[in-house]
Amino acid sequence: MGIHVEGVTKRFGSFTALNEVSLDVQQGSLTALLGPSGSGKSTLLRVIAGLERPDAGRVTISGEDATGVAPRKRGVGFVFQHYAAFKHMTVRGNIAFGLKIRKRPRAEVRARVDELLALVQLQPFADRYPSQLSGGQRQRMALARALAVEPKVLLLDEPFGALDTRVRGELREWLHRLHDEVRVTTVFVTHDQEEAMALADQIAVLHDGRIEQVGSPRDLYDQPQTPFVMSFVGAAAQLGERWVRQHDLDLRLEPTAGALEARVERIARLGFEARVELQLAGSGTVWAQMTCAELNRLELERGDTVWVLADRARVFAESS
Amino acid sequence: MRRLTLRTVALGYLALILLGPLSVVFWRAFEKGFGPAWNAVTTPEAMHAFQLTLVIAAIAVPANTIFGVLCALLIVRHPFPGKGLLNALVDLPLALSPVVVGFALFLLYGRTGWFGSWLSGHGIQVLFALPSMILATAFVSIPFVVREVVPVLREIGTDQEQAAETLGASQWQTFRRVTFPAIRWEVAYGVVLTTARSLGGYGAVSVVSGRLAGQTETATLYVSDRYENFDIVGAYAASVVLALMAIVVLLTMNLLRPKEGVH
Amino acid sequence: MPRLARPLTLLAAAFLVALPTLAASAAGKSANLTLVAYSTPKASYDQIIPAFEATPEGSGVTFGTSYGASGTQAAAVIAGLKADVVNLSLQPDMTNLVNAGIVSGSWSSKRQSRYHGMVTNSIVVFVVRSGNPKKIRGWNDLLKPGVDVITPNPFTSGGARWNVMAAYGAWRKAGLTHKQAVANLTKLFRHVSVQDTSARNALQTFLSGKGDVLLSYENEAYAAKKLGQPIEYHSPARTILIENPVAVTKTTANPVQAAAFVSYLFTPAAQKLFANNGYRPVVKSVFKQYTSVFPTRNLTIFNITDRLLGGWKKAQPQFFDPKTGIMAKIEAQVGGVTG
Repeated sequence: MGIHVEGVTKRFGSFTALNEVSLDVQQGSLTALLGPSGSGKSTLLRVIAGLERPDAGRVTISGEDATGVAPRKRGVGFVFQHYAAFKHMTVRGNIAFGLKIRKRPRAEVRARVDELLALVQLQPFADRYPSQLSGGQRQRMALARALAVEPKVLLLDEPFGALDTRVRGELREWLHRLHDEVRVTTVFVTHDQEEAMALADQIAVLHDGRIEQVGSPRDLYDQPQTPFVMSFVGAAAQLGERWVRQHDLDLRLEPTAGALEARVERIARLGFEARVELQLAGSGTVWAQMTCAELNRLELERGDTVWVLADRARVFAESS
Repeated sequence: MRRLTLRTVALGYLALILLGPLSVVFWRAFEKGFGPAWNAVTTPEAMHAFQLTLVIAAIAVPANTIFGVLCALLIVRHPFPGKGLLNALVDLPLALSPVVVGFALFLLYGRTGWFGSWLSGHGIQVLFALPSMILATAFVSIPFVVREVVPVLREIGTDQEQAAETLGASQWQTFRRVTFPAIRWEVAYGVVLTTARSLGGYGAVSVVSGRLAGQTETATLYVSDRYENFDIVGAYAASVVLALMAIVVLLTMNLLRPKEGVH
Repeated sequence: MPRLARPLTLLAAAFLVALPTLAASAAGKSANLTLVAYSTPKASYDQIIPAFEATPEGSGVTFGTSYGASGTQAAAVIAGLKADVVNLSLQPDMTNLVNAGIVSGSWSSKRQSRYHGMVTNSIVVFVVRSGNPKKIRGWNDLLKPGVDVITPNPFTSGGARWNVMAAYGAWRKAGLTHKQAVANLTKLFRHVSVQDTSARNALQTFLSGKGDVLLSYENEAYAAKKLGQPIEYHSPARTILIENPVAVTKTTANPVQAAAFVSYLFTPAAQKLFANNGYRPVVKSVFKQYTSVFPTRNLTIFNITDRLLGGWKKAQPQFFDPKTGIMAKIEAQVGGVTG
């Protein structure tokens, strides 16, 4: 069941944000919409939520056609990038909002809110106002608020985008555990491939209003279908027609068949890993990724000549 | 030193423009003691004028509050062709002379006016009666709520409203529980300004009221009537009552306002 | 939110308290007369109305009153201001009401009233500061350098039109040609520093300290003097007889009571009350009792119907047509308002 998006097109004036996009999200899965800004990922999420009305196409949620249905009747929980906290309500009031709208009995609301406060670890802050919380706490509150109404699907728009790196990591972990616990179909938008890889069962990569590829993190990394996916999901270098991941570049000290001659321009040791910048004999530069141990074994120095072997490079069809 | 000069200039200006005339009003009202002033504002005509002023405000202010908020929502939240025009139109009463407003009502609702002949044919008296005075007052005080609310609506954005919507709230529930609490102080301030303008309105009302003593004479018209008839104590005593009304409205506002920085 | 509800509740409460009172005042309509008058006779009516209410004809009759500039009041009545009795400053304003179908064309006929519908008389006088420091006595004194004259705007105020006709007529009587008199009038308005909308506003302006001389109704000057203001007034040797018309409207719902009130205005009792407030009574027997108050000796008091003026029928368009009148041209020259 889950979510089924079919042929959705959305234009803003002359700008086409989504161009005949189709996507299936499995019940209970954790799916990432990954892409650079302007790729249409947030628009797709908002179309699923009903906050944007598509110009063409259909959205089905849990088997029901939701295309013309108002957001409030779709049974979706939505978490905004900047939290969209109700500033004049306490944490408790924020979380209880959807339940109060549904006119649930007072005791039930209270019990459910307490449960959610525990789930998002905000019990001590129940009577505070959003302005008295940190960014991470606000985002957890927003999540609890969305979960309170037991949505069929949970939609998160750049949920960690406004947080600093350390809090991001913690929240990411926490969201993962939370999803394991509540098992609600979840779709989140991110421009951070690492975040998508770390969290999602399934990733949809968007580019210029189209979906380039949908697959598991491993599929996308190992079997990218387009140069865009290859370079956006993990880094990649281009050698003529061929695309290769930097850690797949094999450096030899002797001339080797099929290898390109190059000169070492710069060496950067980053602790465990090291990067070697190379000036190719033909033209252009690439960098090779390796462990520091391997670098030590090669005993490379700036100015050395090496031969670069790219056996695991990929060639993509022209059309993409 | 510079601070001192700034303070002197600012306070001096206020004293000259605001405090001076106001204290003269109070002084002249009570020049002959409290008794004559009290008698002057408790005559049936004076009482009626104050009541009429309050009734006009009691109708014009809520109407302008409701429609002012609706206009602000329309301007900020619902783009439509002619939005710029509406935006400009709302400010018109600030630029237009109230007397012109009065004459416009004259032309519309006069005996030979567009609506006037039909209305009077059906026994409805608009001009020189309460309806036209409410219309004139509502007209001149319409910008205040709109102008207070529009910027804050823009500032809070649509995120909270959309969040409420995804949580199941209808448009009305969203407005009542999310939008309105976010704009309530601006609405309240707009109401205060609207009320102040309604209480103090003169030009437009003077044109459409017919100035029937004890019938269509508002407090400001009463003040000018007393003054024109050499009843100095009456004029200033009624002015004092008007000033006190305004002060009460403003104080209420300040008492209602939350202490800054609570949340 | 409940905190915001409070001021709204207060307003609603104020409304509820005030509403019954308003309804009550509107409910007494059965014998309620509305008197719409020009700006100056308020003090007289404040005495005459209670006196009338004490008579058998007036018992049970209550009054609403509205006072303002004569032209403005006439316009308001034409626009629909409810009026049972109108008392205006001069005949042309009444003529406008006749043309609008509000007042019968026969309002000034002998059958309606022995006094051609004119309820009070007055004359144009010069109001000056106590002691008359600028020695202003005659019309030509107004044209002397440095004399600051106050008169209301003739396009809204009836009193102002009387002032204009008095000045023009006086100069014609003194032997000037039409052209010379108009030239003097132009000169005169160059000396006018403030043109208020009504005679009463002009008096307020003068009493606040502005101007050396105010052209005004004798009754206005009389009332101001009685209030102890530091002024005195003189009649110029030649001046105009002001006649203020009164009429019952055709639109009145209470024609009997309205007619009774207008009749009462011409009784000696009412005329005395007018006289006590500075108006020259139209009833001769009453006027005779007030000759010490209202001088006539050594004065040439001419009428608007004088051969040189031709009555309002001629003078109104000739002088006061907003586009082509002599005063419109003069106002254009001196930068006054004609609207």
